[in-house]
Amino acid sequence: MSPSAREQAVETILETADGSLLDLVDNLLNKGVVVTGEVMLGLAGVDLVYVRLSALLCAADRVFADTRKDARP
Amino acid sequence: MTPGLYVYAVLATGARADGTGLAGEPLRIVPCGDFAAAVGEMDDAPAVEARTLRAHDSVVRALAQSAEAILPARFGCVVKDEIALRDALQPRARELGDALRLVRGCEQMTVRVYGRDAAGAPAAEPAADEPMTPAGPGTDYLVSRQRERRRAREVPELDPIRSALSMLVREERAQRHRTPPLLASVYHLIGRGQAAVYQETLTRAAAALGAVRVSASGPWPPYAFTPETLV
Repeated sequence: MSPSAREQAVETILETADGSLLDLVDNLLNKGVVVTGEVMLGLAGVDLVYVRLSALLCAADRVFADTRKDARP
Repeated sequence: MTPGLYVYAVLATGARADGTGLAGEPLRIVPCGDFAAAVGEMDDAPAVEARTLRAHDSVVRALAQSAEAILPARFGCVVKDEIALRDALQPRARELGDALRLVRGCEQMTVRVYGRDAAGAPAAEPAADEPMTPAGPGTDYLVSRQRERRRAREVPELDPIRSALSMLVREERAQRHRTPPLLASVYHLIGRGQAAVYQETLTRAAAALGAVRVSASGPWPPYAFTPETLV
């Protein structure tokens, strides 16, 4: 699975996720021992997770505004 | 072509892996010098789905039942064979060994810290992107420890409850976010079996936080206490 396809898959999950699934995404895709380089989500993806986390857990619609703009370089 | 190995966790030597993996494949232990890895044979990393994420987590939790110290692997790590696995892990033997000692007998609680920028501390700058250090694993470890300590200090919102939690928390990792109302995620390493006490203590102490709200989930395997990678 290519990094971009993976990021897209994550986005799909986050669209429908409940809180416990968001915690899973945080733990399993942002944390944990990295054994191969290929699994990295990329920093943009990491920020995306937190944008969604914040939005979904707090229903603060404004944080949905352009998730990519906040991505780290 | 022989199948690859999907990595679930790094464990202390002598750990067992009796169950099955997320695709129903039998698990096995691959000794890697001072530690071991729990793997299952798999051709390719599974798709990122709620089902596969939950399955990975379940496998890690099952492994943790029979391992005092476990470092979960990130989702989707597939290596070609045992040689590739040892090649990937052994250069990091020291940091992995340190991390295994840290997490022994522990599990993780995840605390999300919410608030308004105006109400709490000034909108904190997120941790600056750190320069990559072209140094050995020992230096990398020290650098990452330094960074972690600095990050921990970057959640002053929790200061009013730190003393209440100090009896329970053995180590902390923290990450600030640029997405208010989520201000930060804080990961606490606590002794196994103390999650309920931790939750009660946090709930009781949270009254002291004023406008800042906290919500904790767990216990989790210690995902956030694996060595920081500088890939």
